[in-house]
Amino acid sequence: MSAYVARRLLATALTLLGVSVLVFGMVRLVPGTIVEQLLGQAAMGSPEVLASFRRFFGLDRPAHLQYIDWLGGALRGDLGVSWLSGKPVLALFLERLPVSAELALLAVGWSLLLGVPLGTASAMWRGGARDGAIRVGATLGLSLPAFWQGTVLILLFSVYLGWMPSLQWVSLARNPAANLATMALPALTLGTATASMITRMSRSSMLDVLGREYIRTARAKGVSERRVTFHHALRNALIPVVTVAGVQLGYIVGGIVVVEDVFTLPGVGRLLLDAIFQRDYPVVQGVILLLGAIFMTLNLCVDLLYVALDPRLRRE
Amino acid sequence: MSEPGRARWRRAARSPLFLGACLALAALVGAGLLADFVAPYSPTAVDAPQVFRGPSASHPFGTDRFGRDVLSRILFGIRVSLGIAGASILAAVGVGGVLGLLAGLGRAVDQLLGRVMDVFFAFPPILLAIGVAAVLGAGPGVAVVAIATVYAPFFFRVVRASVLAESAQVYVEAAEALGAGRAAVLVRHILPNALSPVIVQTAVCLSYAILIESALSYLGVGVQPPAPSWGAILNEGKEFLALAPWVSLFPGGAIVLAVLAFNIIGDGLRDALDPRAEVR
Repeated sequence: MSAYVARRLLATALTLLGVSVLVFGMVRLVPGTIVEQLLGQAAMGSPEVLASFRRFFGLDRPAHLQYIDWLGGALRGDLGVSWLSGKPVLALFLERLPVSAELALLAVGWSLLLGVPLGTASAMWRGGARDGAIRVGATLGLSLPAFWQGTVLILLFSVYLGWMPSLQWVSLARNPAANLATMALPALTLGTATASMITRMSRSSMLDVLGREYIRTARAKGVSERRVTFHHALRNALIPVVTVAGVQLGYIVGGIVVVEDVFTLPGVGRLLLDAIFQRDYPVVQGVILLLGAIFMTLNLCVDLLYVALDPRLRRE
Repeated sequence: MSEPGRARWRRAARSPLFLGACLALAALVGAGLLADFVAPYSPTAVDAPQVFRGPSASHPFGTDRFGRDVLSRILFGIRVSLGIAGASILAAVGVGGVLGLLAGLGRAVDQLLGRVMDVFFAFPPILLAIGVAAVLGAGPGVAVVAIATVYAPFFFRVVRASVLAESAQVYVEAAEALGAGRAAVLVRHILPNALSPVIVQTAVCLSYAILIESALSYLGVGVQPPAPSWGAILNEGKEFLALAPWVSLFPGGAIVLAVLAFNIIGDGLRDALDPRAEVR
């Protein structure tokens, strides 16, 4: 087990290094150099201005030295400053992170709370009309684009029913009730695909476990069906669901960008999109690097949790 | 579990859901190809007196802020949205597939390629696509590159897994013992066996590709107006949601229809082609 953990940690560190090269190189792929993009036509006529800007941004030095500097800074938490506001990228990110983290937690929370029972019930009703309805519902849930689902929900609740007070975001600390009211629809939207995936996985995993010998043994011993389901089967069926939840984290972390745009929430996704439109490349670079690192860390945790949960893997 | 392939095919073909999805997809592709004849109006014809008209007999899906017919824009949008999805997955299959085969050349190549692919897997799919689009600028070509970048690693993994599994088979050993080179074995013997999982993965990835293209265009980093991609139509509609909801509702319906069709077809193909997936 500890050998596995060590191997997994090493692989994650290597991948993170690769991620940093990719994110660093990414901005250097911008057609025309960044400086020309920023200065526009004005600078084209004056090579001196161009050169001085390139020097100012450190773009005149060899790329590998730039990378080492940048990586060293990133490791110390210095991701550079926004070209527009002059604020440190890390500070901008951390300022917005609570909104996105709350959104993601709410989405994961409700999708687990709904998906696992629905999937389990679907497996118990296997082949019946209720099973069919749940399966079709899950496929439909996977096919809804988040931005469209959000749009429909806004139309339904804010415009037609007038239920939602407004789309103005308030912090959880200042007004918990108002905060949760504004977060409900975004969290619902963000978690729909994940809930559908967890439902599907819980169902197939439950069916798989219910077909095992030890379940037949338990039934033969006269254990009640309820106890077989919840005590014997469900606990084992949930283990593979953990892996799916891990993969789904990717869709949650990415979906934040889309959902925050639909509901105009001031999270890190909004920060990234605004930076893209304003060509604020240090912010684009920093946010993508940090979101990638967060996603990898969460994935690592899920993998380790999976090993810890499954006794067969633990012994290796 | 190990029922013969033909029986599994027959079962898939008899499923009304699978057939319905195939028909819906065929109808969409047909309407897209024949958009010039099927669409009542031009997708870009501005008609000032007809701005923001609700659905009616002359404009079944209403008109947008320039008086353009939403139905016509959606019909022409089939070409853009399905075209980008198709082209990007084709590119992903090509690049990912070739790299997956190369991984079968030896342990060192496999390790190196695997590490590089891990880097791409380290990003949530939509974030990677947004990143590529942010760097290269918006546009249909960039959307293809962005989506292909996201899904090439998926096909790499699928093909690599097949290559490794097949390499352990006796017939591969026999071919090599007869003097066939590694590359020849890969292409002639192993590749055909990797096709089934690739086909299943293609259907599933096409549904994701449609979602990502429309999300990029919706966010404004994909296809740009006035080109009629489904996501781009939604992007133009979002400012006028309360005033003209039909501009947003109908293209979204088209996206759901296409994605749902590919999802159902993907599930059906998996049941039919992948003997390991138990038919339940």
